[in-house]
Amino acid sequence: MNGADASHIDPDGWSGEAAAYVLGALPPDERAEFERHMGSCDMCRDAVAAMQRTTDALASAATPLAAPGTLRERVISSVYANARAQRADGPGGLLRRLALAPHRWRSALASAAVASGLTAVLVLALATGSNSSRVRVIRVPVTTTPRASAVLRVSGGHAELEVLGMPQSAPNRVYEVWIKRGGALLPTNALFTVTDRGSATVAVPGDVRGAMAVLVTSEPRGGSPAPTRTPVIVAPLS
Amino acid sequence: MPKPLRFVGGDDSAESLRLLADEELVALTYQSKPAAFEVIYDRHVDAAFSLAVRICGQRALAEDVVQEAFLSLWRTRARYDRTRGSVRTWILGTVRNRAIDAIRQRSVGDRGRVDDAGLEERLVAPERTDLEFARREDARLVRQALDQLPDEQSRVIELAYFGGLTHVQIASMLDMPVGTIKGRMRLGLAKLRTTISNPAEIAP
Repeated sequence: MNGADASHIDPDGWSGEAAAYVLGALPPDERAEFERHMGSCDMCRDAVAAMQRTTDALASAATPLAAPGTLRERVISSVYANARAQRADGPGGLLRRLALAPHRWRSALASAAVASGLTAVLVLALATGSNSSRVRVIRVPVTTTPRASAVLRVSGGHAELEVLGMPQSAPNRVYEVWIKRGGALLPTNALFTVTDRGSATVAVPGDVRGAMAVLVTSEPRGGSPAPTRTPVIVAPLS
Repeated sequence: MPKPLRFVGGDDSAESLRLLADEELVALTYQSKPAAFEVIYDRHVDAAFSLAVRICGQRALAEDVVQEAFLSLWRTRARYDRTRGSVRTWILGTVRNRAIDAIRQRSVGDRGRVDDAGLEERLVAPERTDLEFARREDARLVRQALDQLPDEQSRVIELAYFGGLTHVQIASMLDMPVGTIKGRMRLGLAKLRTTISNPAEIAP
């Protein structure tokens, strides 16, 4: 549809369509039709490209707000955990596939999380069958809150903790992750807070191989070198 | 912006990474370098969060949207195509789509309600780099340009872009033909484009 297509003569024909397209206002069937049309129409492609820049600028018209630092903690720790899992897992491994379907992964865990005080340990079998891609899923209660639960996913020496329904940390306090090795509780640099819905995903720093448990306590902001409170989560590894 | 807690998985070369362009950083993330992604996050998260709050009307939901969007960006980083737009466009497009999905799943009664607790926390500019200053200046121009559009044009643009409504839904809401709505979108975007590219036209 190059050149003098009749629809281009009407300014609200394809160019009106292009405006609705860049604003994300076309219903799916019209959107698909317009994308097909653009494949063969330079004029519409150019119009969309020009309008797209204007539309992109609209994003900055929102009242400027600062994103909370706790959000950074959650996002970046999950990104590191995912990167480590991908490295440990290799191509085609389970974690990699789960990473591509986070909602299914989470809902499967949530539905597995029945309200009992018992620790559940699941070992997920893998399509690849290699030992390196084994993921141990350890579900434990949160001692202070019966409706809350925590899930520790362990793959090789890497572990990631996900909490659901956890209470907000008190003002000026954060949750701190600890690794129990022998009789000692070792601090980690994993400090976290939870969303309004009580969820968080935290990478457990370091190698957990040979460790006895992963624990969480509530500590003053900035963390503590030794726990000052009773653990709210104890996830046994051995 | 609140100071981040301790750096999880920090990287010694963080300072040198901060000198790189967005596109170079994305290329580094292909090698599974999360430190490069941290820099991208820090550069764009305030804009992403502001957009999410604008669309969702609630900070808590906006936080979830931004978190999911950045994790999705990390997982799908290999699909970034620079010929289709800048990294910022890619990020804000992803955030917008997720925010629109989130408000569509929410009950209609909650729509548009803004959580007052958030609004006092304006951007405080911890690092006033030239780039950041230029971005804020651009943002101010865009807001002014939007304010100067005829109401009938700014309304359809805002309902579509920030409200996630289709032209059919907007036509039904305003009781007007779909063609009129599309025409207003076209005229409004054209006017915005002219005004943004000629800031002198913006009234003080």
